[in-house]
Amino acid sequence: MIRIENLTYKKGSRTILEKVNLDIADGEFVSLIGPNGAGKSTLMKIILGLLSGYEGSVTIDGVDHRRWVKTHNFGYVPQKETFDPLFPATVADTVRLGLMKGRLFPPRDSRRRIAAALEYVELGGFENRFVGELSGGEFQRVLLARAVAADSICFFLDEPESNVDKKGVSRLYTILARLKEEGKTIVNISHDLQTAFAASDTIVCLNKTLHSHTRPELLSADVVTKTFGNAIRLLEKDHV
Amino acid sequence: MFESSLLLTAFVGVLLASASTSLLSVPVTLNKVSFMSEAFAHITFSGIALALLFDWNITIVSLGAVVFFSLVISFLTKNNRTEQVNITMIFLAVSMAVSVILLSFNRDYTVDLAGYLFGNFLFMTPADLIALSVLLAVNALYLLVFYRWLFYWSYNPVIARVYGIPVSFVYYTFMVLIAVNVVITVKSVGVILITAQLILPGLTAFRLVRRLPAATAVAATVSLTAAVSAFALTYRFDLPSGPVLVCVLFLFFLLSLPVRPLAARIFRRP
Ligand SMILES: Nc1ncnc2c1ncn2[C@@H]1O[C@H](COP(=O)(O)OP(=O)(O)O)[C@@H](O)[C@H]1O
Ligand SMILES: [Mg+2]
Repeated sequence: MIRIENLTYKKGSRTILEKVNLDIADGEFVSLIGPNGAGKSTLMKIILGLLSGYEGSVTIDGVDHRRWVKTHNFGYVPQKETFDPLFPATVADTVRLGLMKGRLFPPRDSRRRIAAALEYVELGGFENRFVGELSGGEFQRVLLARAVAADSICFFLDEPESNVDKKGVSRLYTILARLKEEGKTIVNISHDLQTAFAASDTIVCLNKTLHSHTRPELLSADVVTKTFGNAIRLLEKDHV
Repeated sequence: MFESSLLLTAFVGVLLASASTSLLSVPVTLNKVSFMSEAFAHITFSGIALALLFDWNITIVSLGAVVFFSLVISFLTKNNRTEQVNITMIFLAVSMAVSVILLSFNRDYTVDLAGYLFGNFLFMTPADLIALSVLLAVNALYLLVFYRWLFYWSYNPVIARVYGIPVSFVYYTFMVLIAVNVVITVKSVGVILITAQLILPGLTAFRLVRRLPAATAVAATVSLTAAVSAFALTYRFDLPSGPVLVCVLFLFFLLSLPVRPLAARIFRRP
């Protein structure tokens, strides 16, 4: 279980996250929603130990999250994985990183495990393609394959639907649903409310602080409006 | 073939130096850290100036200076690429200024400074050959052992860290390795031209092939071929050796430019 207690994060004089309290249970599929700049990515990076200097506490399975991330397998699909498109990395190279934890050399059966992870995300046979030549949806699934190869028990995805077309998004969520069925914990940041609502056990509305944390069908339009400010009118009836 | 042991020493020395730097040139190219090597080279020159002033051992003093300052610069610039370029350039300029001031205190040197600035194969001594051999072994071993870590750190350091690659270790050791290479190979092309030797073989290789092991092999071949050609040209026409080597490397790079478009044309499916 991931437990966030009284988390406050400031950058200079700006408060980016304020007194956030949140529990995420094992095997739960949680979607974090909120407007741009709400601090969603920041919260995820803090959980993963990529940012320091916050107040409050973050524990996973009862231990400090910074210790947990060193000793457990988890996957991360960042909002924008930047790399030089000419960087000579293949799909297999990218997925192999998921097998490298604490190792100088990849494990003996890495070829098989890479192939299996690629099959899992429906990219069988893509091993030798260069990542700079993939479509947005293919690349996102490669990043998911990397997390799958890592034998992750927990998946952190930051707006995985960016740069992916509609068909690609539904493929992505089909794979996520399969991971959830296998008992994995999924923490997903999303701007595709319709898809996220349909897929998640829980929706977390975040805008600097936590506005709501509830099952999708219980979320009221008021809370969503409050989270997003006035900007939102796009929530469809049958999801409210 | 070699009229004296002096020439033979020079020949072996330049081959060893070229092999060493070509091995590093592939990761240097991938990481776009050539400006760091440029700064380390200028700091090396301050070390040389300091050693000359007090009549100390040049290699030991410049090695100490460059390892110390490479760690300082790496520490100061660890998290920010823009800062990295700016701070590194400040160190580059200031170390050059300090060198010139140090040199101004004593005008009658027995050492040819141009040799350290632009290289001179004939300055190589048997002791240099030993140092260069050790360097080549260290480079090869480092790449063999840390090849994957270096690759993932170059690919994306933040993600590499998330997936358990010790990126700080890779960063500091790689910077120190570049710094040490600059000092030990200084007599090959000198502090002003060393960056060319650290990037041209890698750049040329990536014009021809895309996979890392292949690129390393091509970079080494290009670098050694250039070294032999430069050596021959230098003594046939009595030219300055370091600059000739750099020009030959550049020529190889130019020759590699049309290769990929040409290959694409020849092998294009009808
Ligand atoms: N490196 C940074 N330095 C300063 N401010 C930042 C940095 N990264 C993000 N922020 C700020 O923190 C806030 C939250 O950002 P982020 O977590 O990326 O939001 P979200 O993912 O919800 O769109 C934003 O106002 C953003 O401007
Ligand atoms: Mg974000």
